[in-house]
Parts: sequence; C-alpha cells; structure tokens
Amino acid sequence: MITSVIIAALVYVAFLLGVGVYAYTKAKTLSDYLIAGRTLGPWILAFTYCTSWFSAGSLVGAAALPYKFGLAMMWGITFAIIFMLLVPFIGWGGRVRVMTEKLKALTVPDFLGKRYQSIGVRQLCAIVVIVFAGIYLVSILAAMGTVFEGVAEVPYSTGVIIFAACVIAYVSLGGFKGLALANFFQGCVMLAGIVAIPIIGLSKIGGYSQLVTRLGEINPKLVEMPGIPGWPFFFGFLIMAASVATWGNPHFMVQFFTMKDKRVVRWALPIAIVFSAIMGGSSWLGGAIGRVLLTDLSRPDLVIPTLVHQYLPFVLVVLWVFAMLAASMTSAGTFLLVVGSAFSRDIFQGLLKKDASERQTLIVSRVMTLVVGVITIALAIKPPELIFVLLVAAVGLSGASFIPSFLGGLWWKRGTKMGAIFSIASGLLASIYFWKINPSLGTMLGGHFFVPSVAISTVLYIVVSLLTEPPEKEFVSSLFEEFESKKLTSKSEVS
Amino acid sequence: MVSFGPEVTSLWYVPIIIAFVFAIYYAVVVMKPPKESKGS
Repeated sequence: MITSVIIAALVYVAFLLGVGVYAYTKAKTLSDYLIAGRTLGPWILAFTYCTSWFSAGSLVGAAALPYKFGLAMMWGITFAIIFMLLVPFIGWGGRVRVMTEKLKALTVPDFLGKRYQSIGVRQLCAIVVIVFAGIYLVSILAAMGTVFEGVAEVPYSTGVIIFAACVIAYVSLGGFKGLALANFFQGCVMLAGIVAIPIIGLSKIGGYSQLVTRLGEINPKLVEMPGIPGWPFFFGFLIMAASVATWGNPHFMVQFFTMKDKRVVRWALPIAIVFSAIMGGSSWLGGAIGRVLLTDLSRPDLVIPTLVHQYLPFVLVVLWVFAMLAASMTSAGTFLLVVGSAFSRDIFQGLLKKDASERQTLIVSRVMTLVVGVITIALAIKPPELIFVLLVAAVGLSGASFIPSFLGGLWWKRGTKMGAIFSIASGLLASIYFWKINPSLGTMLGGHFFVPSVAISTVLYIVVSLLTEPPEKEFVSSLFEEFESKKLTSKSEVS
Repeated sequence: MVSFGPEVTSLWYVPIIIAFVFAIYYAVVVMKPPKESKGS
C-alpha cells in the first residue's frame, strides 16, 4: 500500500512538472513569470487565491485546534471567509488591480516602493517579505513531513526533502502562469480529497447533532463559545491574527495584481467562498470529529492523518495524500515565487545591479528560489511543537508590517514614504518583541502579538506621515484620478 | 464572562451562507455592468 501511494504521488508530481514546463515555454516576459501577464479570470483567481491559503499546515495543523478546544474553533473558518475573502475582494481587489497597472508594479515591494516613490521602502519591504516567507515556508514543509510520516510512514526528514525538491523545480520552471494553471487543477484534487473526511466521520458518529452531543459529553467546554481558550484567544488569534492579519500578506496581495481587469472579483468572490467553506469546513470539522473517534493521540496535529489512516478506504487515502500534496505545493509555490521575486526584482535589480536585463532578473529569480528552498529545508528538518502557531506567527508578522502602508497607499493621499518606512519597520520589530521577547505583554494587550504590533505600526504611519512633507501633489492626483472621476460621475448622476 | 452554549456554537456555518448570498447579490446587483448606450 505504501509503495502504491509513493508511486502515485510521484506520477502526480511528474504531471505537475509537465505543467511547469508548458508554462515555461509560454512565459516570455518578466510580467508573465511574476504575475501571469495580468490575464487571470474569476475561476483561476478564486482557485489560486484559496489554494495559496490552504496549505497542509492550515488543513492538517489547524485541525488540532478543534481537536483541542472544540467546536468554537470552527468559527475560525467563518471569520476567515468574512475577513480574508469578503472584505478584501469587495474592499480593495479592483483598486489594487488599477493602481498596480498604473504604476507598472510586478511585486508587492515594487508596488509600495513606487507608490511612496522610495527605493528604501521597496528594499525594506523586500526584506520583510523574505523573513516572512522563510517562516511560512518552514511551517508548510514541516506540515508536509507530518503528512508523510502519518500516512505513508516515510521518515519525517525524507518527506520534507522529497517534497521541497519537487516544489522548487516546479516553481522555478513555471512562474505564476504555470502556478495558476496548476493551482486550478490541484484545487479540484483538494476538493475531491478532503470532503470524504467529514462525510465518513459524521456517518461513523451518527450525524452533526450527535457530534455536538458527544463532544459535550467529553467536556461541556468543547461545545461552548469561547470555550477552553477564552475570549482573548478567540479575538486575538482567530479573528485578528488568523484572518485580519492576512490583509498584509504579500502572497494574497499579489493575487489581485494578476486579474485581467478589476471586475474579475465580481464572480471570483462567490467561487472562493464556496471553495473555502468546503475545504476549511471539512478539514476543521475533521479535527472535532477526531476528538470523538480518536482518544489516544500523541500530538493533536496528527488528528487528520490518523483519522484518514484509520477510517478511510485505500482509494480515498491516496486521494487525500494527493490533496495534501496539492495544498502544500500551491501554497509553497506561491511563496517561493514571492520571495524569489523579492530577491530578484527588488533587491538584485534595485540594489545590486541596477542595469540588469529582464533575462538576467529571470535567471536570478530562479536561482533565489533554489537557495531559499534549500535554507528552508534545513530549518524544517527539526519540526516545531505545534505547526499552526508558527504559521500564524508569520502571518501576524507580515500583517503588522504591511497593513497600514498597503491600505494607506490605496486610500490615503497624504501617506508619505517616511510614514511607510516607520510603519513597516515598527510593525516588524514590535511583532518580534511581542512574539518572542515579551509574549505575555503581547497577549495581555490584545490576545495575540499581532494586535498591539499593528496598532503601533498604524499609529506611526499616520503620525509620521502628517509630520513629514506631503508627497508630490501631481503624482498622487494622477494615481487617484480614476477613483475620483468615478466618484464625481456617480455624484453628477445622482444630481 | 459571557459565553454561548452549543445551540449558538454549532451554528458557525450560518454566517458563511449569509456571506455567500451577499457575494451573489454584490455580483448581480452592485457590480452589474453598465448598459451600453445606443448611438443616435
């Protein structure tokens, strides 16, 4: 059985590498490689956005939360759909598309650097992206090692190395265009592989109402809200750190760069909601189901692999392994591309070699993908205690650094480059302080280090912007021209 | 401290359904493409 799973996974990976090769032949420009030439429609955007979100870490590792803390944690999916999909898609998806095209920006540091007319902003932003992506990649690879360890009984470190090598090869070949096509295909595999868990699990228990009853019998706190961890965790972690913080994550921000026009969000949003509800709901509910069916787990993050191993028939086990492989490849792939482009376009092209040609930047981007991959493999060999905590630490760190300057850049004409620099740097430093140096103070101030960190970076963005010289009026007016003319048109239609 | 029982906690999927309905409303009504005016 184990050999069959490994052979099937290798065939699957070979197919994806083929997609990567196909995309390699199609990607003619740096824009094709980094943002798919701004050609994505609603289906591809919705799938690539959501598959970038659902890594094996957020499916396997996060299912440990409902296992440990009960049904209240299911609200994490609810908040994620509202704050990670509904708010950004309606709030600023189209605006990002319009402004990044006007600025000819291909990466998030590129966008912020051009928006604030500052190479310093661009390079500081690139450094934060690299730090953030490094932490995120380690958590994804660690989760993948856990999957192989739990199901295929492959040693943890071997699983990490095999998987990472596949992703590195695939991403460096395909770029965003290949990634988007592969993500759509892999998203379908993820849906097929994940829905079996709650269907079979609930049928074993006797339905959803029985699940609620049985959880309550184990511990009444498992069916209460906020339940075992309390309101600070519920607000600080589930709402703020796991959902709101993603507004400042480069791998989500860059997705809106790739739309073929600003109206793509129109149908991408309902597609993304359905996809996420099925993926997140199925996996996290699996954690709650595991609390009833599995009583002797050594680690909570083994709940889904163990559930699959013990209760699913062989064909569905294989399908689930493929789904996890797909989930990890899509997320890790997007991240590798983000960090590769930060090095190549924002550090190499902007600092090391200003006259680098497009071809040279492409080569550096591919080489940096390889280097980052090797470093993260080395870090992921020694697994963290609880995967999802590390994952959310990275999300919070990036969110606190980028949210004020990103949203301010889209909406506030008065935001200045010094405001952006102070905001990004303070967000990063405050996150590290409240996360690692003084975690009890961070928890006391908002339930999670992200809350006080983003508050500090927002205040500094506003105060420093107001204290420094305003940006060039002509430049800012031209940037906001389209949005303001739309407002004027609406007003004149009303009058 | 305020807390909710199983009858509320178990309804995590209800806001998701509302969000989906709102997204459809947004697509069909709010983001409806403007009608092209016919030439004279």
